[in-house]
Amino acid sequence: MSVTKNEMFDELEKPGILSKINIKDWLWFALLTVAVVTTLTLYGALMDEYEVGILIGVGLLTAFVGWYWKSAAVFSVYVGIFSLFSLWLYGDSLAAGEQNFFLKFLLSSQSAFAWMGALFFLSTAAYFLGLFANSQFALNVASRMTWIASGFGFVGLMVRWRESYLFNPEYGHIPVSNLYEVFIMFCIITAMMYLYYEKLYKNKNMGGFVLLVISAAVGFIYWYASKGAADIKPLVPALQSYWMKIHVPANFVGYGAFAMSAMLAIAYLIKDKYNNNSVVQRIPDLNIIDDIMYKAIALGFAFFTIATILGAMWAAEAWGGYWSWDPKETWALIVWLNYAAWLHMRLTKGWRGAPMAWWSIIGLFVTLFAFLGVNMFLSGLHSYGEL
Amino acid sequence: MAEVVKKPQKSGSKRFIEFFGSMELAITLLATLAVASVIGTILQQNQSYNDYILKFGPFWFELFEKIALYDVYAAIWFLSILVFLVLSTSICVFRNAPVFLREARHFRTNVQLKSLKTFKHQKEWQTDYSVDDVVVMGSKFFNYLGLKFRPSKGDGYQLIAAKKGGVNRWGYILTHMGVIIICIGALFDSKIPMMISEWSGNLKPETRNISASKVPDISRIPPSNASFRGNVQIPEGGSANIVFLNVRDGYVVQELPFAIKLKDFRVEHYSTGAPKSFESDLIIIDDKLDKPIEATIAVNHPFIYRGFALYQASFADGGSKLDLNLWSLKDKPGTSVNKKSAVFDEFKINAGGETLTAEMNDFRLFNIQGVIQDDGSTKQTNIGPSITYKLRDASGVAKEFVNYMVPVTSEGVTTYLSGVRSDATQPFMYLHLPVAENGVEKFMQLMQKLSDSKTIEKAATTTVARTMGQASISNEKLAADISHSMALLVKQFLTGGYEEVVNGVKSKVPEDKQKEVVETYLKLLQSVIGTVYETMLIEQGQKSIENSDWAWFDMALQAMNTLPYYGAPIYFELASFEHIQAAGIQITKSPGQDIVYFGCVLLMIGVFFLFYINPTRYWLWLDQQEGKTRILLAGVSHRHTRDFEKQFDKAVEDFDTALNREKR
Ligand code: HEM
Repeated sequence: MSVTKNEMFDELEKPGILSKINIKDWLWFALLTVAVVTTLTLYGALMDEYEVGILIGVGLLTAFVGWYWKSAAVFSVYVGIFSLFSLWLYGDSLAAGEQNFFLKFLLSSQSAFAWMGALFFLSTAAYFLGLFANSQFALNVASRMTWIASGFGFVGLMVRWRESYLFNPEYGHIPVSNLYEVFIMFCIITAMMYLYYEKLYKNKNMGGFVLLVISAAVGFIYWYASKGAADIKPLVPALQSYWMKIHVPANFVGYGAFAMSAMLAIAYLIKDKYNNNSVVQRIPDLNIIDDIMYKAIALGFAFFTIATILGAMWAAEAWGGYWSWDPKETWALIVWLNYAAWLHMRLTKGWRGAPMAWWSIIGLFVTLFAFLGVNMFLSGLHSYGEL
Repeated sequence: MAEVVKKPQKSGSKRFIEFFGSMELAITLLATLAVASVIGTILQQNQSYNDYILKFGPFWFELFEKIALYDVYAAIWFLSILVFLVLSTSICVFRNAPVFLREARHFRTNVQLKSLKTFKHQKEWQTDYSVDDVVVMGSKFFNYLGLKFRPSKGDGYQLIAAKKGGVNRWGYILTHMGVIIICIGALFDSKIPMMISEWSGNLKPETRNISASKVPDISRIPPSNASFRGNVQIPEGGSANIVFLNVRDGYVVQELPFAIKLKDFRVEHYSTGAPKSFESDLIIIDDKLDKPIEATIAVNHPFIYRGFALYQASFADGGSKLDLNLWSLKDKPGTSVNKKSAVFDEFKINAGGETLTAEMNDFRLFNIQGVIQDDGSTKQTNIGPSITYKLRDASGVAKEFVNYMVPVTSEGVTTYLSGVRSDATQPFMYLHLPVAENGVEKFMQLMQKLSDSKTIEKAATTTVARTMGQASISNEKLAADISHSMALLVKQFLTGGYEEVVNGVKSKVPEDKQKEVVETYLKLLQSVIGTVYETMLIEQGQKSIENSDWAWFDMALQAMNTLPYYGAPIYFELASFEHIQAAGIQITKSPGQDIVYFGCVLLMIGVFFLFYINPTRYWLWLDQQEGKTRILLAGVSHRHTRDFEKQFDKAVEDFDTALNREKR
């Protein structure tokens, strides 16, 4: 034997997290470091220490997500390039949005959102076409379009951020302050989460279902914009807080994940019932859908927990109490309790299958009420986004 | 007692623990809590009881009150659900934690081959290496996989038990302890102590609208209270050493161990007029301090002093000083008296034959309204200061008025606005007074002239003479008659507007002539008042009468036409003011907050451990069989079986590669 027993695992030994990261990953990290440092040198003077903390946190989070999921890193680079390009085109004048060809038709926030919406509609259709016609090509196109749509949405939000300052320096704020803006974020987050699982499970046949809820959100955005919601408005005093910048996005990871699980639950129920049908057979296995559903709800629950806690801390600072039983807060609690119950049933009682799928569909309605219904039907301290 | 129990019965406490620690109860409680919470979001909480009576009627009102639906989150039954949830979670943790921790620590070196063989994930090899050699390999292998392991020897076999992700079990403990700690922290900040003193009769909420100093002791809480959340309004220059705590439809007074003085309050506005920031400069006066502390608070930027947190919550008028001209509209039209008043003042006035109580309710420096621009778009614009007041008659019926200080342009016409309504749920109806250099005075002067019958008759005579002169009729008697009835016409107009004039005609003139007569009358009316107006202007020294004067006159006529419906014998003109604001300060003391935050941190960490750390175990069983070494690798994970499948397959592949390296 040429190899001694001691040497046998030598080349495998102790991989550790650091050696798993290759040169590309380090480049990625370096790129983000440069981005964060540049932002700090340019705008650091305008930021308070919390905002600096948030910026660094976002940098680290992006680095982590990029390491974990390579496509997201590539995606962020594109988003970065196009955002910077649009900002450069804008220069210091909002009027450029009307005059410059690229801005007017492609990259101003309104155009970017229009492209985002159109592409989400198209990719919904393409996903279903792929499923029904058994066309891998259509599915691949759909997947690409979903990426691009998310890219447009993301760039649009970045550009809108800048536009708000150009519109009036006093008004400038991160675009997570009203229902219109957070709905766009909802579309992007849900789409990206779906894309992750699509890649992980190497099956694109569930896409149409998830994209349906995104399309519905896009429909809402169009309707809402027609009522003037897209206008850039200044922030009311209660929203002028660094808390908003983390509380709201964290919430929408939760909402997006819950929405996705509900749409997958529909796919699950269809598969469960009509599995003899040749189209339905292309939908991934029940236990795969079930697995994604669980993971989505777990992810959503984790983020929703954080978001609610951050919300409580914000409330303590803005309203003088970490919990006021305000309708929005209360509904967040209801959503949270609902999914806590769901998780317990699954983990400790081992519930699986159709009942859990139905439950996550009901969960979507509870969630929907929490983030839309409360604003529409109930009054409270949460002042943003009244319909 | 002495009787022998045949069946081994579970003891009471054990059954109690089993029931409360059961998953069924936990889920039921979670669901019940969720449903109960809905009630409070649908039914607006802590409104005035009168509103509820109006909404539900007396029967339902009382029923809802009995089950505390107006303050659900402080209701006994609601708190009981919470207590049960905490109890259930505690028992759950109490029961599971020791088991889980033991499990997390142990390597399970006592497994048997038989049970390993039943595992879903397993792989067997035969090799020429000795058992001891493979033990060394196995250790390296588990090291490589990042697992902790423990080798052990048994009867004719060796075993390496390995594990990873025991932290997940800590996740369970942290999550559930987090929930318990949050609830305990919240308990410290709850209204329970207050509810207890209320039940025991030591505290009784005040429902009357009286000044804080008059509130009796039974409705006061001493400064020693550990936890509360209340509000107080402090006018600029004023100070307070109490806050009000809302209790259902009343309040109690919470005394503070220090006083807060409001030095200045500022509102900044965006160019649209929407508020941009609210800030208060406070001075804290405390015996314990050598000298008062100054602090500025703003929304999202509270100030914390001695564990009391001071928040900028709202703002209001703090009793602005108002310099008013009270213009009589009925008794002696066009005359005014000056009145120095202030917001929140009440005073009596005699007007229109009755005694009215004027209640000065509010002053607003900024009024932001959508004003239609020339290009048809609406722009948010500040239309200037306004006062709001009520006039209450002897029987207690009140009308509410809002008067703007500076002229307001709406639909191209610029006028002084005075809104009136008799019901707070209705929109205001507006009186538009024409604008002149001296404010409303010119209009009032005209009103004064018109109230004098001699002036009217003179003007009527002039008008008649002019008209008749034109028609060359000279009949003195007729002329006198006509001018007399014209004077009457003016009176009719002033008491009931055009409508009164029209009604007068309708009662006297046959139907087919009515239209014609009305037209003539209105023309005459306008020319008489016009004559009075012209005379007035000339008396005031004006040389010629311009088109702009007649435009003003048209507006004055319109104002006179609506004046009879104005509903008040008096008009309040705001001549000048001194703006005094009040800041609504919320003061809280919440000793539970840090406990709650601590629980939150545990919860957050715990949830991530639970979801993202997956406890897995591997075993490597080695024994000698027919001269060869048998290796059995088995693995199991707590959950995520799909992911583990891949992990296990990869591990098998790696082990296989290593084992067979020299063969490659
Ligand atoms: C509001 C209260 C509660 C919250 C937020 C909560 C949260 C959670 C979460 C997030 C999990 C992890 C589920 C998963 O990994 O998929 C979990 C697991 C669990 N919970 Fe709770 N829980 C609560 C109350 C309770 C109560 C009252 C009990 C006891 C009856 C309980 C017993 C358990 C058990 C036994 C597990 C499984 C732990 C394991 O095997 O990993 N929980 N809980």
